[in-house]
Amino acid sequence: MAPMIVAQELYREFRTPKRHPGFLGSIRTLFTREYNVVRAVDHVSFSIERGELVGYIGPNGAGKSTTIKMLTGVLVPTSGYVETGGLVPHKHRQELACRIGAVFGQRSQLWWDLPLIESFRILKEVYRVPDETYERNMRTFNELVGLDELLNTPVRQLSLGQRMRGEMAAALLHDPEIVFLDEPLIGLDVVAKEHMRRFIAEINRERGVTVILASNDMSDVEWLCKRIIIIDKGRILYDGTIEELKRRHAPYRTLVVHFGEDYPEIRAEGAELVRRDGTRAWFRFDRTVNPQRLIADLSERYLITDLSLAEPTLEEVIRGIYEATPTSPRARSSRGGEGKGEP
Amino acid sequence: MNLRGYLKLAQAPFQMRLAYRTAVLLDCLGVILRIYLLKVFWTAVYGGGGAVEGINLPMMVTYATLASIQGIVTTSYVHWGMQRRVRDGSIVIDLIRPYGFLRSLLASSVGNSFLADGPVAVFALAVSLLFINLQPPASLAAGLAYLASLILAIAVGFFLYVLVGLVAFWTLELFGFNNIFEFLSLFLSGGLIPLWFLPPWVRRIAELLPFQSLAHLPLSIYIGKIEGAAIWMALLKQVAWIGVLSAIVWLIWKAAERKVIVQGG
Repeated sequence: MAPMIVAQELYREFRTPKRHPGFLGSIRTLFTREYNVVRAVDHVSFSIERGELVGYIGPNGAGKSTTIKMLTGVLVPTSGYVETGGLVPHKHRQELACRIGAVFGQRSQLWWDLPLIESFRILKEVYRVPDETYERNMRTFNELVGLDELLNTPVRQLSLGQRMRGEMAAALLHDPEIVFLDEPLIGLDVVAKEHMRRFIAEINRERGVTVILASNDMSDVEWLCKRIIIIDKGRILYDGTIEELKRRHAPYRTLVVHFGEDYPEIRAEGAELVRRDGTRAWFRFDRTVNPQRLIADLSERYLITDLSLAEPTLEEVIRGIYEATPTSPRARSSRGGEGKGEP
Repeated sequence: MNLRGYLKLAQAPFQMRLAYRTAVLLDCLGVILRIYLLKVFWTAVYGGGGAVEGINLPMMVTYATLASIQGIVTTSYVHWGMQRRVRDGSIVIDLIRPYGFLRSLLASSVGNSFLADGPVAVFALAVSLLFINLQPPASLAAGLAYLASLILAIAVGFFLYVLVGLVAFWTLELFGFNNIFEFLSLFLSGGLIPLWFLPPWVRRIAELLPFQSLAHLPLSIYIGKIEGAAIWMALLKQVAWIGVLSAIVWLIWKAAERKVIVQGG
């Protein structure tokens, strides 16, 4: 079967007028036609199969939203090829509209002043959702994330977490084949994130909906996505499984220990002391080392008041990828598939 | 998208209005106050004198009162919604929906005029009928032509305000442009001061612009200042403006859409 999403050498630049500093400079800016070219998405290629749940990860401004806009047809690529559901998105935007759903975390698609239920009633007509489908979906969404209690509250009075549940339901009401979730977890607390994760996992597993989940936090998508694509400065740095990524570019974890006393010298079996700050110490240890053994070893010899385990941050992983690949990142990011993260 | 979808979109403004009941109440009070003050003003201006330009005081007060009432439905806020969409980027949401953006604006604007503003206008009319000596239309034909002309005025208003809203795609803000527009519209529509009181050169300019379709034409038909074959001319002018404005709106929207999806701004 043909892939659900294809991007080949997808490129998008933005031109902004070059600004000259100072008062005279701003006058100069008015009359010159010099531009700064920003490569928001820089020759990106990947393909996503039907039913996949892919994490699209990158720091802010990496090009995630720009990619999603091109995949949904609201932005025309500068060059390169893009196809969603067998259609070229910007040429068939309205045709595609019925088959995709989207949540843009920062922008609401709900009717702000109306009770939540009204947004669903409007969208039901807008997308021509049959009565049975509407009933079934509303029932499912309620079972998943408890929508019923929110339905009569005006959207503006919902908390962020509640509103995001509504946004998700709104994006899925018309049974789209593909959903694009652009930072749907941003700003949510632990409970709300859990709600959203369950929602996303369920619609992917039970309905086979293809999901593209953009996030700037790797740990957010870790439990959801088998495959992740990491993008930074418009270029794909990695496309493959999370396990592979960790094994290759984030082989270490960090154990942060708060000791009860200020020991002059601290050692731990199988871990390297990388940092000390008074009674606190940071141990870096290999992913293959069982943290339980490490902790047992430490607590045998020292008094411990607190412990925490830290996974490498996205920035650290990205740094790791850059360090592991002295060649230009573009050379590596040609086609999609598993484990393309090395030279 | 089908008609039912647009009808549903048209209902939303009404429901939103109900969410802000105090605002509706203030709307009602505001228009009553305006009607009252204009009556006082015109009574003072006429000062017991006779007809001016064939219009006597009761006719003038009728003109001013109806101008205030129909202004409720011919004034649209569609441009502010457009500005918000451009500024906060939620225009993207409209672009991934299976409807035409302009048509969705038309739907919500129709909903606004008839469902949300309509009741306020009816209330204002009822109060005016009780406390102001409103004159009936010049004739039955004039009354019917007035209703037709009013519908056309709402359409002209919609396109004018969408045109203002489209400016936001380039400037991101509308306050300056909107001020100029509101000022021109206020004077050149005849909604505040009938055009026949203005100097001839201003009247000639007004003749060339679409604003008189908003108030001057329908109200002049009502009070009989425009009569006979001239009524048809007036209605034709409005229809022509709807044609011209809708074409301009469509062209500029295509440019705005290109700007959003091609230039990405």
